[in-house]
Parts: sequence; C-alpha cells; structure tokens
Amino acid sequence: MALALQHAMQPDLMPEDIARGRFVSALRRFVLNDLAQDMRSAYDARVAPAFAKAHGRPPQTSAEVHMAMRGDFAFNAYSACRVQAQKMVWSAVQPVVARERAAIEAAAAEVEGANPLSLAPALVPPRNVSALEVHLMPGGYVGNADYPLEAGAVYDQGLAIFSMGLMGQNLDDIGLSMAHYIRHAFPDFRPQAILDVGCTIGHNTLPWTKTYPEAKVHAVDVSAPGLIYGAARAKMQGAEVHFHQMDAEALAFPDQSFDLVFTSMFLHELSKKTRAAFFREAHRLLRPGGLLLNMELPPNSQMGAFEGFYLDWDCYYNKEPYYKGYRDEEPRGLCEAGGFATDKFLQFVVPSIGIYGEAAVRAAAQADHHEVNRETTGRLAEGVQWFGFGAWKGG
Amino acid sequence: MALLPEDAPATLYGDDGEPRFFQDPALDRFVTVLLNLTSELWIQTEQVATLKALLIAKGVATDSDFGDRVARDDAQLEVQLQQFVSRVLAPLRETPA
Repeated sequence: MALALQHAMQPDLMPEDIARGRFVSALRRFVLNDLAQDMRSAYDARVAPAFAKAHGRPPQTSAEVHMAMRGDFAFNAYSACRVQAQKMVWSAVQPVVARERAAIEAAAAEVEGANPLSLAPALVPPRNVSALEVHLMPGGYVGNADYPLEAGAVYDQGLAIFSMGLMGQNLDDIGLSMAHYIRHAFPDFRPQAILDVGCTIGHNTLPWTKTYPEAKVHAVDVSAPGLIYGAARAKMQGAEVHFHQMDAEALAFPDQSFDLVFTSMFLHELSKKTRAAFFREAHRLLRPGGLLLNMELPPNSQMGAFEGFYLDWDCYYNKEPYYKGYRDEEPRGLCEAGGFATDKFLQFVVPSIGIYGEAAVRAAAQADHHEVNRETTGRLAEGVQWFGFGAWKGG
Repeated sequence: MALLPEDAPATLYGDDGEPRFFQDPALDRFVTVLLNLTSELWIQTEQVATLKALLIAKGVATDSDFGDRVARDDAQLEVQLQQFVSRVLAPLRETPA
C-alpha cells in the first residue's frame, strides 16, 4: 500500500519513491505473513520435535524457542529478510525527507506556534534514546539539530511504509481502537484532562481529542524532534494538543492533574528502572477515579512459548534491547508497584478498528473475557489485535 | 550507539555488531543483496508500466501494441506486486512453488 500522509507535510513523491515504498511494504507483508507462517511450520515439524528428543520435553520459554530456532533455515530466512526490510523502510524515506526539506519546513511554518510546544533544551536524553538507533532507524529519536523536523518526518513516512496499512490511513489505529474501547467499556468515564506519555509524533494522541472533545489533551516525549514535528502535524489536522518535552521518570505536572494517562508502544522502550518510575508518576498524576491505560505488547506469561519468542525477536534483532525484559514483567505487578490497588487492574484485547470495524470494538468492550494467547495479539500482521492494560486510581 | 539486550548471547552478532543468522556470514550479506536487487527490479517494473501508459496517452502507441491493459488502479498493482515478491522469493519458502 502506498500510504499518503493525511497532512500538509506529506512530501511530493516521485514515481520511484512510491514504487520503492510500495515494494518495502510488500516485502514486509511477505516476511511477516508468509515467512512467519513458515517459521511456525518449521517449529512444529522440526525444531520442537528435535528439542523434545534432546530434552525430554517441549520448549517452555521464549528463550528456549529462540535458541532452538537459530540455525533452522526458516528462522534464518525470516530473520535476515526482516532485518533488511526494516533497514529498507528508512532508506526508502530518508532521501525523500532530505530532498523535500524546504517543502516540509514551509508547511510546518504555516502552523508554527499554533499548538503549544514546551521544549526543555537543558534536558539530556536518557541512554535508551541517545545510545540507540531504535527500530534500526538511523539517528534514532535524537535527530539532527540542523534540521529539527527531519526525525519526525522520517518516523512518520517510515511508519507509513512499515505499517503496511495496518495502522490506518493516519497511523492512528492504536489510538482510535483504544479510545473507542474505553468509551464503550466505560461510558460513564468522561476524562477532562488527558496525558499521552512517550507520544513521539503524537499520532496516537490525536484520537483522544476526537473521542473526548471536551478534554484538554497534553502529550509528552523526552525527544524534541518528534514533538516539534508532532505539534505541527496535530495542528494541520485541527487537533488542539499541548506538547511537552519531559522525562517519563519526572513529569513536571502537579499531583492529580489528569483523569487519563495513556501510553502506546512505550513501556517496552524503557529500562526497568525508568518503567517502574513512570508507573509511580502515573499514579501521582491521576485524580481519584482516573485511569492509567497502556497499549503494549502482551506479556510472556500469558502467551505460549512460540508466540512469546515471535514477539521477543525484536529485542535481539531490531534494536529494542528492553523489549523482552518488559514482556517478562507482569502487567498487574507493574501497576501494583506503581501504587495502584490490585483490584483496580484491568487488561483487554481490542480488535483493530481499521480491520474489524467499530462494531467489533464495541463487542470487545462488552466481553467478559479476552483471550491473549493468539497469534494475532500484538503481532503487526493480518488480523492484528491490540493488547491494553492499566488500572484505575482508587479514591 | 550499541545497546544490546542483557541476555543476548554474543554469538547472535558478528564482529561488526550486525545480527548473524547463517552459518556462513556471507549468506547474510547476500540476502541483503538479493532484497536490494529485488527492490530495484520492482521499481523498474513500475517505471516501465508508467512509460507504457504515457506512450499510450500521447498517442505514440496503443493499448493493443503492448498486448495488455494499461489502466491499473492501486489494488491491481498491489496484487501484481505481491505475486512478484512471492515469485522472486519463492526459494526462501518452506515449500517452494
């Protein structure tokens, strides 16, 4: 799918750019569907039986499956192709963003200052940002001081190719699916102040402004380039969001400032220490009756060994060093350690609203039980469903 | 910019820090070459299709000169591309077509 961004910073694409991006999306579909299926077949047919023969039992953990899979052709083919496809995502968009710099900057200048943007130039990005080319993205989130919009533009353009259409036309399927779920599952919950932490370019922040139009929405990230780009991007789409540069370990808002604290695909990018500190901060910032909601990868404890291995792949080969450490933690335990009562915990699986439609999200919101251990949960491939968890703050 | 998972065995990576999958690291590099070539071939395929459409639009050639339909929406192109990828990369599958 040659996805066109839904705002004025969509660069002019030459036919070669479109063809290149389309190819990378198609390659990723092949890898994440066909080669992934082959890897599962190889596991069932060869790898698991060989392991059982050697150990007298099947593999029981993600790590055991990983080590058993290494060396098998299906794993090698999937992995080598997936790494290269990931690099091709960025190499497809970086030259475009460089070439179209003047147009991107001119579009951003049209809305400059329209959305509040509070930067903190003295804030030193933590090591999980500064020392990491996360997702194999050259330069990571830190970006280029000479071209502040570049990192956000590369991320936005790259995500359009990376997501293969599964994150929606506006790359906001996660936010849309989560917001719809919460609205239908808890119709009496009407947040007046919402905080999105780790927002990058705010693509999953924007749906909250539509679902709860009466709410003041704030978005935070530790990295300035994404915020600069995100503030312009939001304004171009008519969304009122206040963007702030802050560290999730120490969020500079008064106690009890928010009714909803939201994150998406954020916790797995934090060190264990920072993650724990964030949960304490979320508890501090919520008003009584407020909700902490995290859209994340499902935990290893609720998945089979192979499904866990499949998701943990990114930890070792996609520059996501905290990925497995996060997935080995218990969602309920994370909330409790942050100060939330155990009986206030919630978790669910919500169908992608773009794939399954609003009725499916509404049905999920009414369901009593959500099966987590499915090949579609948290896996960016055909039929993806999103995992969410969090807790209500008592009071 | 190296920050690796704490439990990652050193054998997962080569001396250059890049992931290593095949016993012979040359194969990892050749997969990269293969995919780069496949990408370039697809780009040329699209470019040729565009040129055909342009030639017809300018009256230089007719649809029947090319022996196929030129008007293609994205959906058709997507199907062709997925078939192209599956065809070129078929030897990587568990059961090559």
